[in-house]
Amino acid sequence: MRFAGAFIIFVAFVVAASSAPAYGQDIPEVYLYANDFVGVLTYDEIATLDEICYELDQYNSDELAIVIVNNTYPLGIDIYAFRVFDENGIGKEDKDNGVLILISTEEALWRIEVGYGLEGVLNDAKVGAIGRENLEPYLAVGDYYPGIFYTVSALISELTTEPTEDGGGGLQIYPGIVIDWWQLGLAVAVFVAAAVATKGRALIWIGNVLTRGKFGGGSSGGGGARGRF
Amino acid sequence: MKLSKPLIAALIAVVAIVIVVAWIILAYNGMVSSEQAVEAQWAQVENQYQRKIDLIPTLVDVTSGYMEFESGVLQNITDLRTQWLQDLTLEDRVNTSNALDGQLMLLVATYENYPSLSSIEAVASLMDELAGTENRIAVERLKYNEEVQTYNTKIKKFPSNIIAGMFDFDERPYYDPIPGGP
Repeated sequence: MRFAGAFIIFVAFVVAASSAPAYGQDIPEVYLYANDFVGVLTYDEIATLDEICYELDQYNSDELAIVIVNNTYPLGIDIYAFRVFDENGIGKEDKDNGVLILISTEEALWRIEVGYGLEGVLNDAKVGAIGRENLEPYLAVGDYYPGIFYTVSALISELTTEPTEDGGGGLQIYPGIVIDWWQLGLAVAVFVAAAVATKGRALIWIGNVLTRGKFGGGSSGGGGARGRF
Repeated sequence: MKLSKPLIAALIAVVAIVIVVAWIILAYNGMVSSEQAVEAQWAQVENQYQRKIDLIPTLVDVTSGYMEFESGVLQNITDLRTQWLQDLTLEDRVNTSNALDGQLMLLVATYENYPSLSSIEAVASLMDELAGTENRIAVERLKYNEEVQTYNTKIKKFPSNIIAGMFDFDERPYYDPIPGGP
Protein backbone atom coordinates (compact mmCIF):
# COMPACT_ATOMS: atom_id res chain seq x y z
CA MET A 1 0.00 0.00 0.00
CA ARG A 2 2.81 2.35 0.91
CA PHE A 3 4.50 1.41 -2.36
CA ALA A 4 1.35 2.31 -4.31
CA GLY A 5 1.25 5.76 -2.67
CA ALA A 6 4.88 6.44 -3.56
CA PHE A 7 4.24 5.29 -7.12
CA ILE A 8 1.29 7.67 -7.54
CA ILE A 9 3.41 10.61 -6.32
CA PHE A 10 6.20 9.60 -8.71
CA VAL A 11 3.76 9.48 -11.66
CA ALA A 12 2.36 12.89 -10.67
CA PHE A 13 5.88 14.38 -10.72
CA VAL A 14 6.68 12.90 -14.12
CA VAL A 15 3.44 14.26 -15.59
CA ALA A 16 4.01 17.70 -14.04
CA ALA A 17 7.56 17.88 -15.38
CA SER A 18 6.74 16.90 -18.94
CA SER A 19 4.08 19.45 -19.93
CA ALA A 20 5.29 21.75 -22.70
CA PRO A 21 3.68 24.70 -24.52
CA ALA A 22 2.25 23.94 -27.97
CA TYR A 23 1.55 26.15 -31.00
CA GLY A 24 -1.60 26.04 -33.07
CA GLN A 25 0.08 26.12 -36.49
CA ASP A 26 2.38 23.35 -37.61
CA ILE A 27 5.74 24.78 -38.61
CA PRO A 28 7.31 22.59 -41.29
CA GLU A 29 10.65 20.93 -40.72
CA VAL A 30 12.99 22.05 -43.49
CA TYR A 31 16.26 20.59 -44.74
CA LEU A 32 19.36 21.92 -46.50
CA TYR A 33 18.54 23.90 -48.74
CA ALA A 34 15.51 24.06 -51.07
CA ASN A 35 12.13 22.89 -49.73
CA ASP A 36 9.12 22.90 -52.06
CA PHE A 37 5.91 21.93 -50.25
CA VAL A 38 3.73 23.03 -53.17
CA GLY A 39 5.37 21.31 -56.15
CA VAL A 40 6.19 24.28 -58.37
CA LEU A 41 9.83 23.25 -58.87
CA THR A 42 11.09 20.17 -60.71
CA TYR A 43 13.51 17.69 -59.16
CA ASP A 44 16.37 19.05 -61.27
CA GLU A 45 15.61 22.64 -60.32
CA ILE A 46 15.67 21.76 -56.61
CA ALA A 47 18.96 19.87 -57.12
CA THR A 48 20.53 22.89 -58.83
CA LEU A 49 19.42 25.28 -56.06
CA ASP A 50 20.72 22.80 -53.45
CA GLU A 51 24.04 22.67 -55.24
CA ILE A 52 24.44 26.47 -55.39
CA CYS A 53 23.53 26.88 -51.73
CA TYR A 54 25.91 24.08 -50.80
CA GLU A 55 28.74 25.92 -52.57
CA LEU A 56 27.95 29.06 -50.56
CA ASP A 57 27.86 27.07 -47.32
CA GLN A 58 31.28 25.58 -48.13
CA TYR A 59 32.65 28.98 -49.11
CA ASN A 60 31.78 31.10 -46.08
CA SER A 61 29.33 28.93 -44.05
CA ASP A 62 26.30 31.17 -44.81
CA GLU A 63 23.12 29.08 -44.97
CA LEU A 64 20.45 29.91 -47.53
CA ALA A 65 17.05 28.25 -47.14
CA ILE A 66 14.33 28.26 -49.78
CA VAL A 67 10.84 27.34 -48.58
CA ILE A 68 7.69 27.32 -50.73
CA VAL A 69 4.35 26.78 -48.98
CA ASN A 70 0.67 27.00 -49.93
CA ASN A 71 -0.19 29.56 -47.26
CA THR A 72 0.89 30.89 -43.89
CA TYR A 73 -2.50 30.97 -42.11
CA PRO A 74 -3.21 31.89 -39.39
CA LEU A 75 0.15 33.37 -38.39
CA GLY A 76 0.70 35.62 -41.39
CA ILE A 77 3.89 35.60 -43.46
CA ASP A 78 6.02 37.66 -41.04
CA ILE A 79 5.58 35.54 -37.93
CA TYR A 80 5.44 32.32 -40.00
CA ALA A 81 8.82 33.18 -41.55
CA PHE A 82 10.29 33.89 -38.12
CA ARG A 83 8.97 30.58 -36.77
CA VAL A 84 10.32 28.57 -39.71
CA PHE A 85 13.67 30.34 -39.32
CA ASP A 86 13.85 29.95 -35.56
CA GLU A 87 12.56 26.38 -35.17
CA ASN A 88 14.80 25.05 -37.94
CA GLY A 89 17.78 27.12 -36.83
CA ILE A 90 18.82 28.48 -40.23
CA GLY A 91 22.43 29.69 -40.15
CA LYS A 92 25.31 28.52 -37.98
CA GLU A 93 24.65 28.63 -34.27
CA ASP A 94 27.48 30.97 -33.28
CA LYS A 95 27.17 33.20 -36.38
CA ASP A 96 23.41 33.47 -37.02
CA ASN A 97 24.33 33.73 -40.70
CA GLY A 98 21.19 32.34 -42.31
CA VAL A 99 18.81 33.72 -44.92
CA LEU A 100 15.31 32.36 -45.58
CA ILE A 101 13.46 32.91 -48.85
CA LEU A 102 9.80 32.12 -48.11
CA ILE A 103 7.14 32.07 -50.81
CA SER A 104 3.44 31.61 -50.09
CA THR A 105 1.73 30.72 -53.38
CA GLU A 106 -1.98 31.09 -52.46
CA GLU A 107 -1.45 34.44 -50.75
CA ALA A 108 0.98 35.61 -53.49
CA LEU A 109 3.40 36.86 -50.83
CA TRP A 110 7.13 36.55 -50.41
CA ARG A 111 9.42 37.27 -47.50
CA ILE A 112 13.19 37.20 -47.19
CA GLU A 113 14.16 36.81 -43.54
CA VAL A 114 17.73 37.64 -42.54
CA GLY A 115 19.56 36.21 -39.52
CA TYR A 116 21.03 38.48 -36.84
CA GLY A 117 24.57 37.97 -38.13
CA LEU A 118 23.86 39.14 -41.69
CA GLU A 119 21.73 42.22 -40.94
CA GLY A 120 24.76 44.42 -41.64
CA VAL A 121 25.42 43.03 -45.13
CA LEU A 122 21.77 42.55 -46.04
CA ASN A 123 19.82 45.47 -44.63
CA ASP A 124 16.04 45.67 -45.06
CA ALA A 125 16.17 48.12 -47.97
CA LYS A 126 18.69 46.02 -49.90
CA VAL A 127 16.69 42.82 -49.34
CA GLY A 128 13.47 44.61 -50.36
CA ALA A 129 15.08 45.78 -53.61
CA ILE A 130 16.42 42.29 -54.36
CA GLY A 131 12.94 40.81 -53.88
CA ARG A 132 11.21 43.45 -56.00
CA GLU A 133 13.71 43.20 -58.84
CA ASN A 134 14.26 39.44 -58.96
CA LEU A 135 11.31 37.62 -57.38
CA GLU A 136 8.26 39.73 -58.21
CA PRO A 137 8.47 39.97 -62.03
CA TYR A 138 8.82 36.16 -62.42
CA LEU A 139 6.52 35.03 -59.62
CA ALA A 140 3.77 37.29 -60.96
CA VAL A 141 3.64 35.19 -64.15
CA GLY A 142 4.15 31.87 -62.37
CA ASP A 143 7.84 31.41 -63.28
CA TYR A 144 9.02 30.31 -59.87
CA TYR A 145 12.38 28.85 -60.77
CA PRO A 146 13.94 31.85 -62.58
CA GLY A 147 12.64 34.19 -59.88
CA ILE A 148 14.19 32.10 -57.11
CA PHE A 149 17.41 31.49 -59.10
CA TYR A 150 18.02 35.20 -59.72
CA THR A 151 17.16 36.06 -56.13
CA VAL A 152 19.60 33.45 -54.83
CA SER A 153 22.27 34.76 -57.22
CA ALA A 154 21.69 38.37 -56.10
CA LEU A 155 21.86 37.38 -52.42
CA ILE A 156 25.03 35.36 -52.97
CA SER A 157 26.74 38.21 -54.79
CA GLU A 158 26.00 40.44 -51.77
CA LEU A 159 27.18 37.77 -49.34
CA THR A 160 30.45 37.04 -51.15
CA THR A 161 31.69 40.50 -52.06
CA GLU A 162 33.84 40.65 -48.96
CA PRO A 163 36.77 38.24 -48.84
CA THR A 164 36.60 35.40 -46.30
CA GLU A 165 39.03 34.97 -43.43
CA ASP A 166 41.16 32.48 -45.34
CA GLY A 167 41.53 34.85 -48.28
CA GLY A 168 38.91 33.56 -50.72
CA GLY A 169 37.99 36.31 -53.13
CA GLY A 170 34.65 35.55 -54.74
CA LEU A 171 32.45 32.52 -55.20
CA GLN A 172 32.17 30.70 -58.52
CA ILE A 173 28.79 29.15 -59.11
CA TYR A 174 28.84 25.84 -61.01
CA PRO A 175 25.30 24.56 -61.30
CA GLY A 176 25.98 20.89 -61.89
CA ILE A 177 26.72 17.74 -59.95
CA VAL A 178 30.26 17.41 -58.71
CA ILE A 179 31.10 13.91 -57.51
CA ASP A 180 34.52 12.66 -56.58
CA TRP A 181 34.25 9.08 -57.90
CA TRP A 182 37.29 7.87 -56.01
CA GLN A 183 35.83 8.95 -52.65
CA LEU A 184 32.42 7.55 -53.55
CA GLY A 185 33.98 4.18 -54.44
CA LEU A 186 35.90 4.05 -51.16
CA ALA A 187 32.75 4.90 -49.19
CA VAL A 188 30.79 2.12 -50.90
CA ALA A 189 33.62 -0.38 -50.29
CA VAL A 190 33.80 0.53 -46.58
CA PHE A 191 30.03 0.30 -46.31
CA VAL A 192 29.87 -3.17 -47.96
CA ALA A 193 32.74 -4.41 -45.77
CA ALA A 194 30.96 -3.12 -42.66
CA ALA A 195 27.69 -4.75 -43.75
CA VAL A 196 29.44 -8.11 -44.21
CA ALA A 197 31.40 -7.83 -40.95
CA THR A 198 28.30 -6.98 -38.90
CA LYS A 199 26.16 -9.60 -40.69
CA GLY A 200 23.85 -6.95 -42.17
CA ARG A 201 23.33 -4.76 -39.12
CA ALA A 202 25.21 -1.91 -40.82
CA LEU A 203 22.33 -1.71 -43.31
CA ILE A 204 20.45 0.26 -40.66
CA TRP A 205 22.94 3.05 -41.30
CA ILE A 206 21.64 3.52 -44.80
CA GLY A 207 18.62 5.28 -43.31
CA ASN A 208 20.92 7.81 -41.68
CA VAL A 209 22.97 8.29 -44.83
CA LEU A 210 19.87 9.12 -46.86
CA THR A 211 18.43 11.57 -44.31
CA ARG A 212 18.88 15.15 -45.54
CA GLY A 213 20.97 17.53 -43.49
CA LYS A 214 19.59 19.98 -40.98
CA PHE A 215 20.50 23.65 -40.61
CA GLY A 216 23.08 24.79 -38.10
CA GLY A 217 20.98 26.37 -35.30
CA GLY A 218 21.09 30.10 -36.15
CA SER A 219 18.40 32.59 -35.17
CA SER A 220 16.71 35.69 -36.52
CA GLY A 221 15.41 38.88 -34.95
CA GLY A 222 12.84 39.62 -37.63
CA GLY A 223 15.09 41.44 -40.11
CA GLY A 224 14.41 41.34 -43.83
CA ALA A 225 11.65 42.44 -46.18
CA ARG A 226 8.43 41.19 -47.71
CA GLY A 227 6.33 41.90 -50.76
CA ARG A 228 3.42 40.87 -52.96
CA PHE A 229 3.54 39.36 -56.45
CA MET B 1 32.21 -1.89 13.53
CA LYS B 2 28.47 -1.86 13.92
CA LEU B 3 26.46 1.35 13.54
CA SER B 4 24.01 2.09 16.29
CA LYS B 5 20.44 2.97 15.44
CA PRO B 6 20.66 6.67 16.50
CA LEU B 7 23.75 7.10 14.31
CA ILE B 8 21.96 5.69 11.25
CA ALA B 9 19.02 8.00 11.90
CA ALA B 10 21.35 10.99 12.19
CA LEU B 11 23.11 10.07 8.93
CA ILE B 12 19.80 9.79 7.09
CA ALA B 13 18.74 13.18 8.47
CA VAL B 14 22.01 14.81 7.34
CA VAL B 15 21.70 13.34 3.84
CA ALA B 16 18.07 14.49 3.62
CA ILE B 17 19.01 18.03 4.66
CA VAL B 18 21.86 18.15 2.11
CA ILE B 19 19.47 17.04 -0.65
CA VAL B 20 16.84 19.63 0.31
CA VAL B 21 19.39 22.46 0.53
CA ALA B 22 20.91 21.48 -2.83
CA TRP B 23 17.46 21.43 -4.38
CA ILE B 24 16.64 24.88 -2.93
CA ILE B 25 19.86 26.32 -4.38
CA LEU B 26 19.22 24.79 -7.81
CA ALA B 27 15.60 25.93 -7.92
CA TYR B 28 16.51 29.44 -6.74
CA ASN B 29 19.30 29.80 -9.31
CA GLY B 30 17.01 28.52 -12.04
CA MET B 31 14.45 31.21 -11.19
CA VAL B 32 17.09 33.93 -11.06
CA SER B 33 18.41 33.07 -14.52
CA SER B 34 14.90 32.87 -15.89
CA GLU B 35 14.12 36.29 -14.41
CA GLN B 36 17.32 37.68 -15.95
CA ALA B 37 16.28 36.28 -19.33
CA VAL B 38 12.94 38.12 -19.04
CA GLU B 39 14.75 41.38 -18.23
CA ALA B 40 17.23 40.95 -21.08
CA GLN B 41 14.47 40.22 -23.56
CA TRP B 42 12.55 43.31 -22.45
CA ALA B 43 15.66 45.37 -23.18
CA GLN B 44 15.58 43.94 -26.71
CA VAL B 45 11.97 45.07 -27.13
CA GLU B 46 12.94 48.59 -26.00
CA ASN B 47 15.93 48.63 -28.37
CA GLN B 48 13.64 47.94 -31.30
CA TYR B 49 11.22 50.69 -30.20
CA GLN B 50 14.15 53.07 -30.07
CA ARG B 51 15.11 51.99 -33.57
CA LYS B 52 11.65 52.91 -34.82
CA ILE B 53 11.78 56.30 -33.11
CA ASP B 54 15.21 56.94 -34.63
CA LEU B 55 13.90 56.16 -38.09
CA ILE B 56 11.12 58.78 -37.96
CA PRO B 57 13.10 62.00 -38.73
CA THR B 58 14.46 60.50 -41.99
CA LEU B 59 11.06 59.06 -42.81
CA VAL B 60 9.30 62.41 -42.42
CA ASP B 61 12.10 64.20 -44.23
CA VAL B 62 11.91 62.04 -47.34
CA THR B 63 8.14 61.51 -47.53
CA SER B 64 7.38 65.23 -47.10
CA GLY B 65 8.94 65.72 -50.53
CA TYR B 66 6.01 63.93 -52.19
CA MET B 67 2.53 65.38 -52.59
CA GLU B 68 0.83 62.01 -52.06
CA PHE B 69 1.68 61.89 -48.36
CA GLU B 70 -0.63 64.10 -46.29
CA SER B 71 1.22 66.78 -44.38
CA GLY B 72 -1.23 66.41 -41.45
CA VAL B 73 -0.22 62.77 -40.97
CA LEU B 74 3.49 63.65 -41.12
CA GLN B 75 2.96 66.41 -38.54
CA ASN B 76 1.17 63.95 -36.22
CA ILE B 77 4.04 61.48 -36.57
CA THR B 78 6.61 64.15 -35.66
CA ASP B 79 4.51 65.26 -32.68
CA LEU B 80 4.05 61.70 -31.42
CA ARG B 81 7.77 61.06 -31.66
CA THR B 82 8.46 64.13 -29.53
CA GLN B 83 5.84 62.95 -27.05
CA TRP B 84 7.36 59.45 -26.93
CA LEU B 85 10.75 60.94 -26.08
CA GLN B 86 9.13 62.91 -23.23
CA ASP B 87 7.07 60.01 -21.84
CA LEU B 88 8.52 58.64 -18.67
CA THR B 89 6.35 55.71 -17.71
CA LEU B 90 6.09 52.48 -19.61
CA GLU B 91 2.32 52.81 -19.86
CA ASP B 92 2.59 56.27 -21.49
CA ARG B 93 5.14 54.99 -23.95
CA VAL B 94 2.97 52.05 -24.94
CA ASN B 95 -0.02 54.37 -25.47
CA THR B 96 2.00 56.88 -27.52
CA SER B 97 3.50 54.04 -29.49
CA ASN B 98 0.03 52.69 -30.32
CA ALA B 99 -1.07 56.14 -31.54
CA LEU B 100 2.13 56.39 -33.57
CA ASP B 101 1.49 52.99 -35.16
CA GLY B 102 -1.94 54.20 -36.26
CA GLN B 103 -0.42 57.18 -38.07
CA LEU B 104 2.37 55.08 -39.59
CA MET B 105 -0.27 52.70 -40.93
CA LEU B 106 -1.88 55.63 -42.76
CA LEU B 107 1.50 56.40 -44.28
CA VAL B 108 1.94 52.78 -45.42
CA ALA B 109 -1.63 52.76 -46.81
CA THR B 110 -0.84 55.86 -48.88
CA TYR B 111 2.31 54.17 -50.17
CA GLU B 112 0.36 51.09 -51.20
CA ASN B 113 -2.39 53.14 -52.88
CA TYR B 114 0.03 54.95 -55.19
CA PRO B 115 2.05 52.35 -57.14
CA SER B 116 4.09 55.19 -58.66
CA LEU B 117 5.65 55.76 -55.22
CA SER B 118 7.18 52.27 -55.13
CA SER B 119 9.31 53.12 -58.17
CA ILE B 120 11.03 55.86 -56.17
CA GLU B 121 13.99 54.06 -54.62
CA ALA B 122 14.35 56.33 -51.58
CA VAL B 123 10.69 55.94 -50.61
CA ALA B 124 10.65 52.17 -51.25
CA SER B 125 13.80 51.73 -49.10
CA LEU B 126 12.28 53.69 -46.23
CA MET B 127 9.10 51.63 -46.37
CA ASP B 128 11.24 48.46 -46.19
CA GLU B 129 13.03 49.89 -43.17
CA LEU B 130 9.72 50.80 -41.53
CA ALA B 131 8.19 47.36 -42.15
CA GLY B 132 11.42 45.72 -40.96
CA THR B 133 11.40 47.74 -37.75
CA GLU B 134 7.77 46.89 -37.03
CA ASN B 135 8.52 43.22 -37.64
CA ARG B 136 11.54 43.27 -35.33
CA ILE B 137 9.36 44.73 -32.58
CA ALA B 138 6.78 41.98 -33.16
CA VAL B 139 9.45 39.26 -33.03
CA GLU B 140 11.18 40.59 -29.91
CA ARG B 141 7.77 40.95 -28.23
CA LEU B 142 7.01 37.33 -29.09
CA LYS B 143 10.32 36.22 -27.59
CA TYR B 144 9.64 38.34 -24.50
CA ASN B 145 6.27 36.70 -23.97
CA GLU B 146 7.87 33.27 -24.31
CA GLU B 147 10.46 34.13 -21.68
CA VAL B 148 7.67 35.39 -19.40
CA GLN B 149 5.77 32.15 -19.95
CA THR B 150 8.81 30.06 -19.02
CA TYR B 151 9.43 32.17 -15.92
CA ASN B 152 5.81 32.24 -14.78
CA THR B 153 5.46 28.49 -15.25
CA LYS B 154 8.61 27.96 -13.21
CA ILE B 155 7.45 30.03 -10.24
CA LYS B 156 3.94 28.58 -10.24
CA LYS B 157 4.82 24.89 -10.56
CA PHE B 158 4.87 22.68 -7.49
CA PRO B 159 7.21 22.27 -5.65
CA SER B 160 9.34 25.20 -6.90
CA ASN B 161 6.48 27.58 -6.10
CA ILE B 162 7.45 27.13 -2.42
CA ILE B 163 10.87 28.62 -3.19
CA ALA B 164 9.29 31.38 -5.29
CA GLY B 165 7.09 32.29 -2.31
CA MET B 166 10.05 32.25 0.11
CA PHE B 167 12.17 34.60 -2.03
CA ASP B 168 9.39 36.85 -3.41
CA PHE B 169 9.49 35.95 -7.08
CA ASP B 170 6.41 37.64 -8.54
CA GLU B 171 4.51 36.74 -11.65
CA ARG B 172 5.46 38.89 -14.70
CA PRO B 173 2.85 40.41 -17.02
CA TYR B 174 2.74 39.44 -20.70
CA TYR B 175 3.35 42.27 -23.13
CA ASP B 176 0.07 43.13 -24.77
CA PRO B 177 0.35 45.71 -27.58
CA ILE B 178 -3.35 46.54 -27.43
CA PRO B 179 -4.45 46.66 -23.77
CA GLY B 180 -7.44 44.37 -23.38
CA GLY B 181 -6.83 42.82 -26.80
CA PRO B 182 -6.15 39.15 -27.54
